[in-house]
Amino acid sequence: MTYASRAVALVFGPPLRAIADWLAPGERVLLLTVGRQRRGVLEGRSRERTTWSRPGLRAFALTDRRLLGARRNGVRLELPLSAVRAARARRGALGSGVLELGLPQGALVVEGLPGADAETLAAALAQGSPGDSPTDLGSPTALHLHRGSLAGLAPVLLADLATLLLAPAALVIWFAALQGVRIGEVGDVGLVGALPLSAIVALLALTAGFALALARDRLGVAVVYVVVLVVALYGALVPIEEVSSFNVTWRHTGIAQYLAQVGTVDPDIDAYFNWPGFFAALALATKAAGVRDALAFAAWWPVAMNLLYLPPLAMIARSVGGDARLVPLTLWIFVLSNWVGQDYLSPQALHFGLFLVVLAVVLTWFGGSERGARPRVARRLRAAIASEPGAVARLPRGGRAAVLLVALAAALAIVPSHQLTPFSLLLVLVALVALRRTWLRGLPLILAVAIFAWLVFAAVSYLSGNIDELRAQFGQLEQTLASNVGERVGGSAGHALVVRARLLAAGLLWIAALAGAAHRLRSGRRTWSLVVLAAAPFGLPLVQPYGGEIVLRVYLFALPAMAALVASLALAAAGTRPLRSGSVVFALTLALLGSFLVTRYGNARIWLFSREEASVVDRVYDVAAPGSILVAPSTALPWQHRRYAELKHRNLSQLEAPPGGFGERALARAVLQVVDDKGEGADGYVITTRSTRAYDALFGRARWGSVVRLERALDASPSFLPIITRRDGRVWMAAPDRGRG
Amino acid sequence: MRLANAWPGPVLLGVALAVAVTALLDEPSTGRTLLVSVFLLLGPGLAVVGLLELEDPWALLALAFGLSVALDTAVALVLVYITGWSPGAGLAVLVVGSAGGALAQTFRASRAGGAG
Repeated sequence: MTYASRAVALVFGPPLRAIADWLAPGERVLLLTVGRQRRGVLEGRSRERTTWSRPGLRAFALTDRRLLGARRNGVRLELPLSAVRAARARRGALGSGVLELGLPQGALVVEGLPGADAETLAAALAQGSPGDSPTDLGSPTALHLHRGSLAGLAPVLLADLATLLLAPAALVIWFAALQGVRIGEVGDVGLVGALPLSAIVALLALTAGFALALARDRLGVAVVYVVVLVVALYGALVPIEEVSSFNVTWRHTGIAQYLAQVGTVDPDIDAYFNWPGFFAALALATKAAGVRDALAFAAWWPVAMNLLYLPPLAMIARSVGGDARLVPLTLWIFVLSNWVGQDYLSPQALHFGLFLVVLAVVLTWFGGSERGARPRVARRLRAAIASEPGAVARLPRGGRAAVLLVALAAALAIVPSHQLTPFSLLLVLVALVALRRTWLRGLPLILAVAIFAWLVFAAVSYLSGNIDELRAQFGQLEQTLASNVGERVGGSAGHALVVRARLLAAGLLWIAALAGAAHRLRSGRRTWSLVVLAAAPFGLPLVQPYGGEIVLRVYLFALPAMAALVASLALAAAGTRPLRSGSVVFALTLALLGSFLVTRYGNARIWLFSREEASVVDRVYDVAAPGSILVAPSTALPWQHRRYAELKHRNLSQLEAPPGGFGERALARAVLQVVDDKGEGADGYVITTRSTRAYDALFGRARWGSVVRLERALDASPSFLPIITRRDGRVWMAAPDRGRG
Repeated sequence: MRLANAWPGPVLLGVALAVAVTALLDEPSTGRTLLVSVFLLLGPGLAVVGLLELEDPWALLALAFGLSVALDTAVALVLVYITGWSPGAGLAVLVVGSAGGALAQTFRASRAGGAG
């Protein structure tokens, strides 16, 4: 037996046996062939206009009564000859045959058939009788494929392989192109201005490959493209970085290092130590991996997080049923729209993943209202919602209790780890319960109790110190929007462009999602759970501005459902014809991709640090005595990664300037006051770096002046001694006899 | 025995053992960082969720991720709040628990294979 024969037997042996078992007594097999089913109607939901069965390789048998099709796991297709309304054979790729059938439920397409077999099948099915079929194979107990059966499949499989190979090829080109980009080339509009042409070509290839895969119903291949896209887009800075990027990553590393060294939580240090779950786990991981600090995890963290978001996101998209293309397209749109940059080494990144897991479990296994209480709001709304069918998913015996426990564990793990995500999850769960999209009333109740208990017992230090501020911010929507939106539009022309692009991208995505929801509702499809997921996070700005970031977080928490609704709209526009479907997906991707490159990496100039500036900052940590005060013009520098609680970190963002601004001597005196603010008499260091200068250029100079002016003022002041001067970083030490001389 | 249900047990067992060995040798390397990251993000959860014999890979991965992070966080918080900081002990708990779950899955899969 040749290898080819063995392979054929391995792939098609079980389906052939299944067909043989399925034959009725006396039923004669007239034609036996193989092909690839693209689109089917037999396993879908009758409510959906477009329903699909799993595409894949199948063996087909034309008998004197019906057409049978089987996959490896049994017979899945059985068409009486009289059930076919229309049948047509046409030429496919490289001479292969394509069979298109019109059925009462929709269309069924089989490709990769031998050309002659496709015509025979079309003729038999169009006539409703087998007619003059070429061969009568009788009623055998064991079926064997004839030699020409596989002739049509080879071109189809080759096309699949080519589509698949395009993805890694594009990835190689992408990273090879990025290798040549230097930090200094990244300007005010971020990474997009520094991308070489070959990088754009790689992205176009990825776009084309995904559109092709989706248009040809290769959903597995489409998911491979999503994975490759995540690696490409979220790993884009890895080849460019000289050291870990983004200042907050460095700060989070410092907190984890503190916990790893000290081993206990001091809630009075700052807010992070009131929600230490993530940092304790990160400290554990750092020790387990044997690395010096958590920066070792930072470079690929966004890639890892976005990959881990995909499974729960797929479950959420699938929970509303319908077109199977919805899952890969939702993932694709999510990846192209997650520009808010909350996936760096942070509690938000990890616990957004848990947020998705909880919602995936709730919507997949506990969706619907069969055990829910009657809603108190909007009877007409209720009637519309209640008509949706419940989620369908198979679980073994006892499985529902087990997955519920997993969801509960994930929800409870968020509580001690992040300030905002538990409230967001609670808001969504309460909304789902209120609108009868889940009957799990106990889950939000348990979560609420856990949040309250944590605030009262573990985070009391933060709460007691900030309760007045939190109370004052509650309900201040106008102020919140001003700090989140209005105050961010400014700085250089390039930066203003980036901010406006972000506002436009968010607005267009939300409008498209709204249109998608309206379309789904008009079509009678399951929609309301997605609407709840998309809308509930918009309640968060009522609570507080979250340091001017709440709108970004709303965008993030609403994005999964928004992506699914936009995908739904795109599929409605795309239809089922490959050319149109591929064109729509290609055009949508180009728009999202162009937007992503600007919105995601628009601030890369200040978050990318050079090796030299990192080493300058590191040197201060080497020499500073315990209790020393480190001052920087802004927070945009690689610091706080060591000796987190031992040294004090201050920036000049709150420094108030007189109406005419500071003179250089006055500025130096003002900085000295920041160093000596509490009269501690400790050593003081002022640090400026390439990134703090870039921050000035990007966001506009601060009220107290520019970094260049600050450097001149410190150089001229006898109260500061320059101790390190490099191109990318400078350090001054406050003179020991300052104020005393 | 379905292939989909057969792989998590042996693979997880191998990963858990590799994490234990690298922790004992205590030599930093990129491979160790990658191994520990994958283990902590998926391993402890997979040890439990694998016993559910889910056919759906999306659900398997989602639940494994969610439960892993929950268990990692729980162990780390116990270390900082209750028992005293001992990352070696924390890792040992996660590795032994994962190996136990992996063994149970392997045993169950082999029994199902024998029966089938």
